[in-house]
Amino acid sequence: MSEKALSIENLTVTYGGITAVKNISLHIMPGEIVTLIGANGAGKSSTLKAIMRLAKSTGEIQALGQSVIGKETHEIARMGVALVPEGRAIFGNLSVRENLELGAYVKREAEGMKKRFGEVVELFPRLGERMSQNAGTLSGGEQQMLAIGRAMMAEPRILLLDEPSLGLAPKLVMEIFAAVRAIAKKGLTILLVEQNTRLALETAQRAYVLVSGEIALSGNAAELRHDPRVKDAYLGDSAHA
Amino acid sequence: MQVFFQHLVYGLSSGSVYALIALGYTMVYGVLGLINFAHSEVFMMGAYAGLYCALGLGYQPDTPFPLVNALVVLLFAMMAAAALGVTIERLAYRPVRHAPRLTPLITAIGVSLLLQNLGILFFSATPKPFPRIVAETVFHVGGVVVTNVKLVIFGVSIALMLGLQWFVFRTWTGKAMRATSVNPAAARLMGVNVNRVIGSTFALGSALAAAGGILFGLDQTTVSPQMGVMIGLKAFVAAVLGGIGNIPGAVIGGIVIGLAEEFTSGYLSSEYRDAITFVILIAVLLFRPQGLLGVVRQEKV
Repeated sequence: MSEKALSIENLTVTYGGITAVKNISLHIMPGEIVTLIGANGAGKSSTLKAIMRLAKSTGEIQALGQSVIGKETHEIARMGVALVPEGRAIFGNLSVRENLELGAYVKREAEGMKKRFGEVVELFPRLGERMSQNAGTLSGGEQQMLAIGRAMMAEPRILLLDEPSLGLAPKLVMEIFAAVRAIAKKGLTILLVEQNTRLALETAQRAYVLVSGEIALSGNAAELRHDPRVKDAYLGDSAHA
Repeated sequence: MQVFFQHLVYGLSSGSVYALIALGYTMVYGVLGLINFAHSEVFMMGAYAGLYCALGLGYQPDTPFPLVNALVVLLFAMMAAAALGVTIERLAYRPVRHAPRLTPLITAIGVSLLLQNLGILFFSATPKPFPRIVAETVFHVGGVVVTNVKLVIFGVSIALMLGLQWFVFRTWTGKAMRATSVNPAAARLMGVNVNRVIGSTFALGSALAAAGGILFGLDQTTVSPQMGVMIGLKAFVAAVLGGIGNIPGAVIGGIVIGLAEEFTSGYLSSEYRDAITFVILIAVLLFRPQGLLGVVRQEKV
């Protein structure tokens, strides 16, 4: 049995008196793609923020065999954990190329960067056409591609994706998820936070369902897709719908 | 026409000094959103660091000062100011970084007053003659009086600005600065140590201000603990005029202020020399608050 890529034990995240995540535990094995699903405000993003130390929390979080507690966000990025944040957070006034270069901030040797540039363009050919364009002028879908591509430039071992489908047209969502699957095939460990439950369960191997900051259900993604409780609450195709 | 060119030469040289100082305001605003009012005192302290360095190197009035020594003076002042800038950030601004916006602003004014008074305490309030580390030679170009000092001021400023441009666009620290100024949280996610970037920004801006201080001392021949007040204010207006947070904007703003002052005192009256800067400030705030090159920032709700 190999070491867990990411493990969270008894995590609680509190923002100014409000508890967003209550004592959850979860883990991801290397190369696994796991999804965290749940309604708006269930604590999904807070969990990702806690992993990157962008939110204060109690409990233990280990990534790649090291505790992240007490580390700074940039140190965790250096360990090989990349977060594609909700809302993409691209560098709007910088060009697409500069955004990608900054993604490689922790892995800057020229050879490797060149190779990964090629891989990102292969993954998202549209970015290749827009290299010198100001990133702020990209469409929402292209910005999401850039955010994922930028994260890939760091050659991470764990990729955290926060709502990659948010606000995108269905066709673009399909494109983004095809890319996520292609990335997963390379053996990357992925934690996917998603409100599009159906798509998330189709993409992931395992899933955790968050309800009001607590894990209500977890298990094999294919099985959860047919679980009446999940169908009822999130897939909207239950018998009485 | 001769008079026009005369003012042009003077305006470009004083404008380039404003530009050097304006860069520090704009860079710090870019990464922190803070108006660093202590910057004008870093400029003053930089000038004094240069003065004492020149004396330490055995400067004597009326004897030529070797060029190498002049460069040492410049570098020493820049390094001393960089250290001062980093110290100010570390001790005064970092503890209040996440406080409401008014707190760092008041802190900045406090640091400014503290440094001015330390200046009076250590250097005395009486203006001191600034060493002529570059001996002045005058030459005439088609009836226009040009001194080598004016050319040195302009040349050194341009060289430093080009160096800054290279730094910001070509080095990883420079790229990290730009990323931090656009989105600090995202920069952190890229592995950027934002604290270190902020420190580098203060170091760089302060070093440029010190260079401005040396050039100002060369031009005006005296320095005083209060020299930063008016010059700093004008450089700040230059940064606002160019679009605060925008590096090329600060350069353009500085040059425009320098020229405006020179032409106003030449063609209107030298009494309006200082006033024109503030007329420009009011006009910018009324008609183009984002500045010449600035973009309107949308506040997230």
